[in-house]
Amino acid sequence: MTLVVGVDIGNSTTEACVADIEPGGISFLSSHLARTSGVKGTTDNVRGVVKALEGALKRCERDVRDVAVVLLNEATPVISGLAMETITETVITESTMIGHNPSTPGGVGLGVGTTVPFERLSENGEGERVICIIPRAVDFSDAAATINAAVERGVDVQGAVVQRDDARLIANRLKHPIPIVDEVGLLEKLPLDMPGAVEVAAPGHTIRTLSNTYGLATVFELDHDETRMVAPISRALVGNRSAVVVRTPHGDITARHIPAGSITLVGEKAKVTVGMDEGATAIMHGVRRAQPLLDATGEPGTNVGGMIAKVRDTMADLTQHTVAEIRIEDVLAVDTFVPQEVRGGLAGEARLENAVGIAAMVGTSRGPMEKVAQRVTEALGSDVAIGGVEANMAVLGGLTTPGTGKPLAVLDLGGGSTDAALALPDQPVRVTHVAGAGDLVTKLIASELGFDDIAVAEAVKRSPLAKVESLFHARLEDGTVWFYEEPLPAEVFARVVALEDDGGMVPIPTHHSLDRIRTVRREAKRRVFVVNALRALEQVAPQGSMRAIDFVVLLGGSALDFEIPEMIAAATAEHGIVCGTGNIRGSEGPRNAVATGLVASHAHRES
Amino acid sequence: MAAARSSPPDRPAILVAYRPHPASEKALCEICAGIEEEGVPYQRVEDDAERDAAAIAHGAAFESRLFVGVGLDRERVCVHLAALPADAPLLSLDIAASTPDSLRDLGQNAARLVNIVPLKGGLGATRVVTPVAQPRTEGGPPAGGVPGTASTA
Repeated sequence: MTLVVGVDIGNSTTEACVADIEPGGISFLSSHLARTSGVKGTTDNVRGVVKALEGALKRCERDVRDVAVVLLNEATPVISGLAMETITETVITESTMIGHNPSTPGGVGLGVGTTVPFERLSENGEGERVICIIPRAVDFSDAAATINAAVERGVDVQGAVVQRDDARLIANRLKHPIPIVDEVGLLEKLPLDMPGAVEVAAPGHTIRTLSNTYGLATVFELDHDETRMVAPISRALVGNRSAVVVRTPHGDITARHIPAGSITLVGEKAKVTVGMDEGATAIMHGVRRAQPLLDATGEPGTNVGGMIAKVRDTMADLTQHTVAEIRIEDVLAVDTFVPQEVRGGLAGEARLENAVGIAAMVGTSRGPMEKVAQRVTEALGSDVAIGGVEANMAVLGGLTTPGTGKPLAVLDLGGGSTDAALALPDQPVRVTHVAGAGDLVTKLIASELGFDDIAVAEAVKRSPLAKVESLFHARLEDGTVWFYEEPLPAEVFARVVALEDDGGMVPIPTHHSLDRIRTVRREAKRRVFVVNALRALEQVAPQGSMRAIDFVVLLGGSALDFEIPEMIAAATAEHGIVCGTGNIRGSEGPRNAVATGLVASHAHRES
Repeated sequence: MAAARSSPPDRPAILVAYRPHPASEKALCEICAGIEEEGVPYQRVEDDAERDAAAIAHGAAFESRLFVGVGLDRERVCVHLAALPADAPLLSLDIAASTPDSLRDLGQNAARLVNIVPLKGGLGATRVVTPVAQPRTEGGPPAGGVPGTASTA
């Protein structure tokens, strides 16, 4: 009876599998996992190896001195990176429009007049149509009283624009209702003594005049050339409940394309350069045209250029090659959008700008595992052997999932890359790595929902959502209601939260509805993992035909996700593939495949 | 528990109860402006009983048909709900240390409790909030482990 431990050093986790090998077969005893220390394939990994191994031994109450051999995988490190490029921006010049849609505007209707500051309202005479501009220093009851007095004198006060959050306070004290827009942070930049218009729609409705180009033309008496110039303003205000437009001679709003650089894809038969602002579909078309990809570069001085250069540098350091010898193996581009503050806005307006997310990766055929093996021997005192090609081990482990058969492909859904390995009878295992995996999904979620905190984005990715409807209950995304005996804290009241397994609530710092957040989450997963599952399987399938694959087993961290496996299974079912989350040895779920394969392969060799 | 009041509450409103004190007037105005800006009715009520802001606020919450109360004593203002334990108001502010804006925000938050809108003040560094007790499943005894798992008989 020989006690062996298989250890798989992955990009994120290091997994160990302890087994007794007997003449009659293998008796699996325990398994454990730890975070991978350092970059996979370097001597830094030893810490993680020791942790995983000792943890596994402890679980089955065995001693490290009884271990005959530790089997390590031939780690094939994959270095990946990702970047986001915004390709459009919105700029307002000369402060001509306010479209931040405050939550509590006052009054209803359309007001048209000359913009007049509050201090000078007393100078206006009878019949003059004015829009009153009220800065933060003015108390709301004074504002209302002064407007009432002016109206008494015959001044036609048509509307008001207010710096503080005071619209309803003022509106409630006016004798004659007028539309009022408030919360204009940079009110002092609003052009004065110019024609202006304020429009507020009833609750639940949107404005109709200022969001209609001909409405603007009517209000400001524009000719057709001038009307054409103001069209972007009305389009920017569509869907708002309130808006202010001031007609200045040169002001406008422009939606510009930003020079976001280009990416060059070098293939065996073609070299293709695609501008980032052409979007993800064009870039992926370029990737397909350049297949098989030999290398990729991004334009220097851009986010993409910097990211690809960094991926190259990291791999060069790792493998002691020169930067020139490193080749980018795969690129994934995804269309996305990012809320950006509008330049020139007066009230912190944000627009969803188009962006492209890019993931790139590079792999090596072999890491310096002999050095790692030596250090493990030094640390533990046991013999260490390099077990075998990682992909073969993954397939061997995958086949211990009940119900699988050949031809079997394993799909490893990792953090930086999605990897596929296909075992066909009497053929060497075919392997591929494609760029884009869990980390890209997280980044897309964060940018589309408009916040920076990656840990919160991870929580949104991994956990179901709930809306906290009172201090005592929350409604989950599937409609279930949970009641809490102790009152929930103020921070989560009325917020959408991610519900973690241990009952923790992660409040999501956006104003989006639960349905919107859910859609963003699912779409991010689909655009990365479903696309990449199909890409990777196509690349390993003989002649690119997935029909040759009968069984696919999903492995890795994202195979534990509550949505991703079923999305991939649905997409691969169309190709006649049986696909599901792995269940290694009928007990480990999608974990421990390579470690199990190392043990199984060793037993087969020894027998 | 009933405090002396100027008139009984005649419509659903947040009750703002206060120990009469000249220094309170400014704070009261800002708080009431905050409630009004959110579009919720309020009613001001004097409270003669000698008790602290939390107790005043809790009493006001019980009297309010919207079950939200604001209470001021000489030092503090509290926002309370009838459902909470008396000594644990949801929000609390030291009047001497406050600004007009923070008092306005407090009033807005009292109204947001009624309208079910996220409170002002942002999340700061809040990453995870762990509810003290696990939620009940199916009205039975509180679940011991992971919420939602079936308990074994």
